Amino acid sequence: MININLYNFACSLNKKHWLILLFTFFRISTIFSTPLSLSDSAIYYYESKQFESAAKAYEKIILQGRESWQLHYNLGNAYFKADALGKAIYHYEKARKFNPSQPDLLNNLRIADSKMQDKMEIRENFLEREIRLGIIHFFSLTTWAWLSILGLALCLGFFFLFRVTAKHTLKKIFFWSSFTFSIAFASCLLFGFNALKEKKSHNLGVIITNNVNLYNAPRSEEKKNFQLHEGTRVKIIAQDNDWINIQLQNSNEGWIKITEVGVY
Amino acid sequence: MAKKENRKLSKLWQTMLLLLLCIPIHFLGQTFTAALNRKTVPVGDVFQISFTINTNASNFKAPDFRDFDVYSGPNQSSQMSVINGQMSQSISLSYYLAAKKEGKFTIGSASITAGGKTLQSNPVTIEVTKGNQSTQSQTQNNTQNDPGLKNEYSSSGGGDDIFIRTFVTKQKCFLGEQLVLTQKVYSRHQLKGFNNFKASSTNGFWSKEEDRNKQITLNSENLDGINYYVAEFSKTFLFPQRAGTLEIGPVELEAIVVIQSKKKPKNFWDQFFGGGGYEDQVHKLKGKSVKITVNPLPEKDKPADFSGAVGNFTFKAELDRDHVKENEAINLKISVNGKGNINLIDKPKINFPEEFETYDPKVNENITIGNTINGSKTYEYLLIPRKKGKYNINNYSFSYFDPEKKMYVTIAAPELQIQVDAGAAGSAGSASVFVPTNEIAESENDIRFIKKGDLMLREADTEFFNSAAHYAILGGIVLLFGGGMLLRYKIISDNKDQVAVKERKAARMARKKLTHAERFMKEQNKEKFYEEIMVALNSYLSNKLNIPPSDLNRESIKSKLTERNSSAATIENVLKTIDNCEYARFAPGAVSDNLNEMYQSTIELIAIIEEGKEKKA
Repeated sequence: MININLYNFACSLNKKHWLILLFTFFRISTIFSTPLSLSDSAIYYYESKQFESAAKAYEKIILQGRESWQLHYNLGNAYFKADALGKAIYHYEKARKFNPSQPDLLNNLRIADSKMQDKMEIRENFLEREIRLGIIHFFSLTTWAWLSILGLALCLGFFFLFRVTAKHTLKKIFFWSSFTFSIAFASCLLFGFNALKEKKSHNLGVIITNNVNLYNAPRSEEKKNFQLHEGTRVKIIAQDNDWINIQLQNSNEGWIKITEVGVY
Repeated sequence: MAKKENRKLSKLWQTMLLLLLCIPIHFLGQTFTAALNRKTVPVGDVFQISFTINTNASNFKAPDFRDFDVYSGPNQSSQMSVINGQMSQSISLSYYLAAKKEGKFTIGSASITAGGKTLQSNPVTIEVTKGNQSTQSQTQNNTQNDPGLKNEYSSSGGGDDIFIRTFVTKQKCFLGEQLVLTQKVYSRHQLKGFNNFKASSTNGFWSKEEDRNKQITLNSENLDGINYYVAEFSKTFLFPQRAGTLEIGPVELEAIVVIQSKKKPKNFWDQFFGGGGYEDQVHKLKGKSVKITVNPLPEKDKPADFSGAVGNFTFKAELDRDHVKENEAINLKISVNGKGNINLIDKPKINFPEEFETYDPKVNENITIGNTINGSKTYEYLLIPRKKGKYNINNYSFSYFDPEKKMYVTIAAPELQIQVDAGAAGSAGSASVFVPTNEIAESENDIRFIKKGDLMLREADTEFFNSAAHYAILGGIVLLFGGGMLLRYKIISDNKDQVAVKERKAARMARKKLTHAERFMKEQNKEKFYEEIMVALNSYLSNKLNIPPSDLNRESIKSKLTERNSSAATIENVLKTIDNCEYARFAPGAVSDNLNEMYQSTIELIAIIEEGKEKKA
């Protein structure tokens, strides 16, 4: 009955109605996809080497409240090409929060890092952190979630079989399988939570403007006698309104204005 | 009347005394005169005025020289002479003056105190004609190697017998223009040597002094009719570094001259050996300071690539090779030749192609110091082309300011062409020059391209992990598991119940069956009786001992009963009863016909087993 009604309805529509329908459909569908204009214009700007305009277009997308690792990766590229090294590194790191082991991203970040002006030993202090990150970022967060589900299912399933089976050898196999998968399940959850904590932590930053003054206190007096170059990595210790207390890799500390650093 | 006459007389005497006193001194033998060495002089020319007194005097006051520049003075000299047996001495003080402008001028009297009296010299007039720079320098300057000099006289300790003359090639020049500062000593007596040379201060100049250790040559010059011994003791090349008025400070020197000794030899021996009446005289001399006006270089028409070179130069550029392979080194030599401030020239700005690796050039200076500073400065650039192609190095030039022509000169260098062929495979990085590793890395990879596809944007902070869905699925699995376990438990326990129920009911069911057997017994239906007993017993044992009927046999019964810890006797009885029943059924004659006995023993057996169970329970 319903089918017939639909058919009649469809027949009754004229061209104009169809056009309106199609148009509405497309308008609705764009809600669920990337805003076409901004992304495409950014690609156009990037390909025609107008890197600052490309960066502006990508920033507009961020202002709309939606992000992804691809977006930050593209932004990082645009800033890198536009010689804004600090902002490039900042966005690469933001992208890394979303997708920690993406190879293109890691490659570009390495290149940006090597262009850094302060040739401080970037990797030394943070080595154990890098190892830990290597482990918890081996899979993406979603993968950890699914693996944990699988692990639990297998653990309980094997346990059930263990209880049900009478035969001794099978019982042994099932018991130890269940035990192994319980460990696997626990590990997946552990790594996942660690990765989540990393993602949610915002205690690292990159200097995004050049020749930033460092102060002894969250005030504009008491300037320290050296400046920071853009692209320098810092640890965030504290915040006081629009001042941030940072620690450098050589353990020097100081306060800078929040606008000078990108926290990721 | 006499007193009045007395007063008149004393007044007369006083007047006469006064008149006497008014008589000029020279009537009493003291003379103080002024004399010029020239009566006519051009503007700027230096002449001498001397004041002579023929006795010891003090407190000399010079007249006003307002129309004249005083170049030196007062220079004191004394003379003693014996004329016709009469000894006379005179002391003269002289000044060197130059007139500021044309006209007839009178120089007033000087005054001096001698013998308690103040004496005045005679005024003198001098006629000043129109000056002429060249004639002035010609009359005053006989040296051939310093044309067009402006010179100054010195104040010295030796009067006009010895003084320093300071020469500068130009007193008005441009910033960076080369000047030569020459210092000469003029002496009427033979010069023996110099001591304690203190160079002029040359603030604001970059200076290079000629080596003073070389031999100082003595020349002779005639100035104003007087012959002098002349020694040039210092020559400095100066390049003013800032515009404005700069001052070259006075030079200081001790000069030793040899003069005829005024002392009579003490004895015969002194006269013979004692240097023949000559002795050394040391004069401390101080030159005059010179003011130099330094004009800044004109801003108009200043070329963009002007880097401070002032003088006269040539400019050359040459490559050692112009056809190379990738990563082979090329030497570019740029040379600047000429005179001027070569030392201070900066390296030229050359735009090398991007594909060339360049390093800071090696700089070579070759300067000779003669009458001027000239020489050459070369810059050697090392270039390494990294990519094949045809390259031009052009658009570079050298600009300098010529102070003689007072204009900027730009010399454009010729365009250099370099042909670079492809290198051998794998030759990248085989250049013999060490390149820092991070630069190699940069040239090997650039950043990877942007992601052009769907950016897969999501609201920030939406993660599946730790989300409601994640926990929902996990919870679901746990529930599934729990449900499974529960089900199993229920099934088992259900089974267990069944067994227990069966067990409990076993005796009752057996009794029921036995009732039937009893009936058959009464009817004396042997067959049916034994059958019923059998069934009753079997079903009882099956239910009681939880043995499925198919598994019901002597062994299973035996093992189950043993499990229940029934006594051996009971077990035997049970088995005997079963056997009897079977015999009775299948071999009716073999067993006794006492049905009642069978009946009773079966009931007993069941009772014992029941009891046994209760005992254990």
